[in-house]
Amino acid sequence: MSPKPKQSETPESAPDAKVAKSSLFNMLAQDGWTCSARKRNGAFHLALLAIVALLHLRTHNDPWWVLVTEYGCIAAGILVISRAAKYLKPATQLVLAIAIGLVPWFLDTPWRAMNYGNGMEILMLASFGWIGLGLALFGWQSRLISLAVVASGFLVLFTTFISDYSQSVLFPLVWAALCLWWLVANQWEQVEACQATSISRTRYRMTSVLIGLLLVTTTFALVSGSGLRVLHQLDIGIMPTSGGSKWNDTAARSGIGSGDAIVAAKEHAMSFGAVETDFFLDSHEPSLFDVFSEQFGEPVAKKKIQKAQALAGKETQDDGHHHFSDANRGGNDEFSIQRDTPKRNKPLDNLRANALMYWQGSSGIRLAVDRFSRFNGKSWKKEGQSPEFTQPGAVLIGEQTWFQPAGYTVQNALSPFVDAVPEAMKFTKYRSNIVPTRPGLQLWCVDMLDRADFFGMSDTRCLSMTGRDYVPDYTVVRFVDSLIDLQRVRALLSKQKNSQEHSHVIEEETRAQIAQLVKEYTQGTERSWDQVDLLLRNLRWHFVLDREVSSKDGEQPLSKFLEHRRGPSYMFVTTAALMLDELGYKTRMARGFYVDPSNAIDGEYSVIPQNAHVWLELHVGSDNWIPLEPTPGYRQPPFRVTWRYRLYQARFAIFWIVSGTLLFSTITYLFRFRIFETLCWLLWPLVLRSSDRKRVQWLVSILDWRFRLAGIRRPTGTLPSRHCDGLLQEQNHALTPQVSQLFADADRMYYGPAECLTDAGRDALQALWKRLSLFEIKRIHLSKRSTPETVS
Amino acid sequence: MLDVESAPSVEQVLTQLRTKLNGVLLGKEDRIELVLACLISGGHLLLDDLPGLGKTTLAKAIASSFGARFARVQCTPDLLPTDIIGFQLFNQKVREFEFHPGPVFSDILLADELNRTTPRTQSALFEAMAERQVTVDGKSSKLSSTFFVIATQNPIDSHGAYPLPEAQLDRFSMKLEIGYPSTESQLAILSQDRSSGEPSEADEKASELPLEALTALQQKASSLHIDEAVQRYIIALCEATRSHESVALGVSPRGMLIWQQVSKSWALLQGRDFVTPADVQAVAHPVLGVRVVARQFDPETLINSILENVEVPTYQ
Repeated sequence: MSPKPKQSETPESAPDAKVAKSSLFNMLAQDGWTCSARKRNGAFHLALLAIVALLHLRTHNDPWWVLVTEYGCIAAGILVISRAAKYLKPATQLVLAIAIGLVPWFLDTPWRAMNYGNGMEILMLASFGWIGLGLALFGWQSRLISLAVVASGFLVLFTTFISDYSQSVLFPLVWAALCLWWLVANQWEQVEACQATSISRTRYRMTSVLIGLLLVTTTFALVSGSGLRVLHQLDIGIMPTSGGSKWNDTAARSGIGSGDAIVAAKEHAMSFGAVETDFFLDSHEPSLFDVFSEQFGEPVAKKKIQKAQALAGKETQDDGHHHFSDANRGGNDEFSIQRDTPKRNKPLDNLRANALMYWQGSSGIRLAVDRFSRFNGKSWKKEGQSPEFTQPGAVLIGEQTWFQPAGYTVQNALSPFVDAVPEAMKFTKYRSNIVPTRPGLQLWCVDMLDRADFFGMSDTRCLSMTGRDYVPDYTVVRFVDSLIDLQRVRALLSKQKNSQEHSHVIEEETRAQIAQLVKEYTQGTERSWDQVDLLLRNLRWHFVLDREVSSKDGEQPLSKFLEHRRGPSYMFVTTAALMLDELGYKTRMARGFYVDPSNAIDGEYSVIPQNAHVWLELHVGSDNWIPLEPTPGYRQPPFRVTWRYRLYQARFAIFWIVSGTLLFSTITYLFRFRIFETLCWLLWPLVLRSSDRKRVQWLVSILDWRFRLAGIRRPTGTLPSRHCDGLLQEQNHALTPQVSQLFADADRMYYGPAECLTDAGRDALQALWKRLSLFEIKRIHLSKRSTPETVS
Repeated sequence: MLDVESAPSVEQVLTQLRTKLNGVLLGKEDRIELVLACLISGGHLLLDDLPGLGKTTLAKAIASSFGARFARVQCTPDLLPTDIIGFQLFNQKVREFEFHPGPVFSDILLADELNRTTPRTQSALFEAMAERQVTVDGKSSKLSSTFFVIATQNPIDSHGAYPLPEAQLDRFSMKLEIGYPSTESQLAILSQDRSSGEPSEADEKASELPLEALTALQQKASSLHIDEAVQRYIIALCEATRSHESVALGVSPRGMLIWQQVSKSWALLQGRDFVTPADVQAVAHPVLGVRVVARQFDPETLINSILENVEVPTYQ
């Protein structure tokens, strides 16, 4: 920074004479003050504006006489101090002025006795405002005046922020305008002194360098953040999707068992931190059973119950993704396609209020709670009579116990699953012990939970909290899931042979219809993923999703669906299964929840009862199944994680790396002179060991860098000697002879007959290396700028 | 021939020259240095300036400094080549043609307002400048080895003038503008005129340098060392003039040689026996000014732009 011009430092400079004569400042102005009356005047008005802004806030609460008393006392105090100014030292005046700021606190005691008085924050703000005014009036240094301006700005903004009155917005606007005027009027000389004397085009501009740096850093962070293997993340304590470890998720810092944590979790409903998991909490909230059977909410009206294909004459249910009355765990191993009359979904006004759980992970995926392997013409059935649960294996990673499917390797050469993606789920109003999971689940955990017997994995790869009625509220289950590699799926499907036997049983007439459709839709393609895809795309294209379709008594829903090409999603699933069965593919039906991308809240997804869904799973060899979506209106299951999600996962890595880089860059930039000179100092012993030619080369490079950092880059076509001379000669600098000596010697050595420098040249080199430092160059440059040009 | 022992040193010659010329053309030390560089490089000088600024005086002073033969040609539209180079005249007595040499058979020739004469006459002079010889009726005659042409042209009043073609301008080593002297110099001129008359012929003779001193200077300048880095710098600058989008005609290889020679002369004038990039830059404006034809900018701006953008050697 250039030294401040003397003109602006004197209290009675010519432009301010008028102000000084006609105001309070004339009375206050005295020896020892180093700031101009103009500056003080502006600061005073800004401080006054801040007090008025506070007054505007207070007039609605405080009676007028309270305000008049307070303001009157303070005005009197200021007047007394200003009258006594000539007898007091500036510091004493300032202390007294700051003491005036305590007046509101003294007055508040009697006001409280009279049932008036203000809150603590108003008193603090009032003191703040008055102290600011005191600084503006009695501060004897420029920095104190500037402090008063900053205080006034804070007060105006704060009062506006807490004010309920729209008019208060005017105060910051007026303050901003006045402050701008104040800055321009008082800092102009400094701005002028710092302005560029010339602008030279450079190839690497600062902005482009910064942008480039940011891009590189972000890319690095993204790649390293998302590319870091999940298991390594676990090793180093970064919990997937948790936003880091227990130290940087405020809602989860106490882990399980802390009373604070549960409060925090309830206050931060979207937090995915570990929270209190009370396994014995009871609740009257709807359960998973309720979600699917619709026993939660309004009772189903008898008159609307209709019959469907499966159980003729019995009550049928709508798919609606949420009306499967006998589909809950606990002995019922049948999924009926009966349905109730569809109930109109209420508009989802509040995704939070209706959320069964929050999902943090890929969107558009399906979370299965149950699977049915065979359609018998009426309903979907499971293989066994009752589910068998296997206790998962446990593995300790870091301090956390993770669980994995026992006796089953998710990823192998014959598996379509690859990679690893961290995801998580937090349960809120979910009332089932089945944990919805994706196909390809590798690992899961609940914070601080290390007992594998809490979980059970069914033979259909559905995860349950066996022995629990339901997953307790606010339980966070973290997953490490796999992604489906489409290339592998293609390879696996092509290796499989067509099954000769039909898995599903239907009437011959219906099978003929199905076969006809299959022939029409597959268009003669061979067994492959493309064939499956083509079939599903045609099904989605030619059939319409209609949840309102109902069947009359005795009418077969499947026949009706095929005839009218319209129906609910379970009909799509059944039809697709039958079609694929016709082609020799093995399929099964899954039910659970669809993570609707439109339910996104703050980067997470709310799973609501309306997201209950059924879909199809295709067998791709071994014990591997991949989801298929035959129902139109639902996204196809993603085969790879999106970049958006990768970015989301890497957000903390990005934040830390970008912040670190920016911090490092800022520090480096701020201390660049010092850093560079330190490097030069360290380099000097090495330079001493080199030849004269190398020394000159080093010095010229160092000087070039010094000039560049000082903002006076040597133009390409300018000789180093001329550039140095140009700077030093005008100031008649003591190093000018050394510059001439060194460059004359260097010229003789490089372009003439000399082999080395003279002794004087070496001395000059040392002098320039040490004394023509970056600070010295900057100083000379600034003093050159601030020196008025002489007219010759 | 100049006696080696009695021959003045380079420094003495230069000091004497400077003293004399600076005494003649007051307040133009920088221009005189360039004129000397041109003279020592063996090139020719084009003065592009207004009348009455001391061009003739300067030329005469140079001639008188060395006791050289001086000739002056006032170029007019009716001037014939023979008026410059000479002509054959039939001698009735000996019944033979005799060659009557023209003004080019001098050591220093001042061609005043060269752009006033016809291109034919200009061409005759340019042959003499380039080849240092003239051919009359198939017979070539050598000119003085120190033949030095100072041509002038008037930048204003171009009506009826024959601008010098670019190809012919390339024969000149440099183009200079002398410009008006400063107030102090003008005051000194007036005082000098009032106080002192013309120097006597004896004084002139006494202060004369032998013409061999000029030859020695020229030989000394030619023998100066120039590093390859500096030569590469000259090449880079010349190539920059050729590739510059605003230049219609860049520096030819002949111009490049002249530039190197003038740079050497400049180095000699600076008391050095080697050439630095600073020497090349110092003479860039007058050397390029005569041979670079700009399309849009004025030549000064263009030359500055070229000098600023070509990387200068920095002891690497």
